[in-house]
Amino acid sequence: MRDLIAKYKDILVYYDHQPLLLFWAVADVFNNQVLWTDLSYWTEIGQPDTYWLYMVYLVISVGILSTLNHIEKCAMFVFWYLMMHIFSTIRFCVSLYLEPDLEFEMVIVKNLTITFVYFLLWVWIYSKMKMEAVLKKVGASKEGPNG
Amino acid sequence: MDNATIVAIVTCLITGLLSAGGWKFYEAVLKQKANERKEEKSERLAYRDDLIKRVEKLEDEKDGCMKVLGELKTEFAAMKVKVEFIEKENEILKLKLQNRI
Repeated sequence: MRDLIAKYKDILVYYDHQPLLLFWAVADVFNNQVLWTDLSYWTEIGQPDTYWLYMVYLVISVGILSTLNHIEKCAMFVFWYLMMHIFSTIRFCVSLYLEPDLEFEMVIVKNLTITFVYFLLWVWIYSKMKMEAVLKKVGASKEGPNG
Repeated sequence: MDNATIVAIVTCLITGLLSAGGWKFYEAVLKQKANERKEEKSERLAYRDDLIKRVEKLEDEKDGCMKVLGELKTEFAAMKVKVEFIEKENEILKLKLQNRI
């Protein structure tokens, strides 16, 4: 059990984030609603802003994919992805709070839990990238698990 | 713009500013540490260079001293031989003097 926990710690501290970022960004681009719907669809269901929100996500995902070889620029796109994630989550939470006739539903708890895990994921990726960029800028290097 | 959007934007702004400030601070701390390490390293290098120079100087002096020591040993050996001869001669002269008396 102790080995397993140590392995989790090693994964979070030492393992690379690039493959995850690559697959996530590719999946995000192909899953983006801008590619599969148009503005009129979202206007009809009364959420025209959502279309533009997806558009921003698409731009950021393409930005991540196109700057994977430049860590500082890529970190900037990841930062904006994180901001968008925080923006969407806070907006959703505040809307829930301000809604007067809200009923407790498990699906909301599930969605918020998943959103929180995604938030941790993006914070982890952003921290790793930023740390790497800062160390590169300063000219220092961090020791790995084997010294 | 509804309240939820405004709250979300304000939260994002605060988070973004705090994050940027935090990273700048961390970068400054790392830079300071790197500079300290650099200074320490340059001091160590200067000390090492000084030691190398001193050792080179001492080696040169040692070579000179060894040369002088060699000459002194030769002269000392010659003197020793001379003294031995003089002592022997002195003994002979002493004996001759006793025989005369």
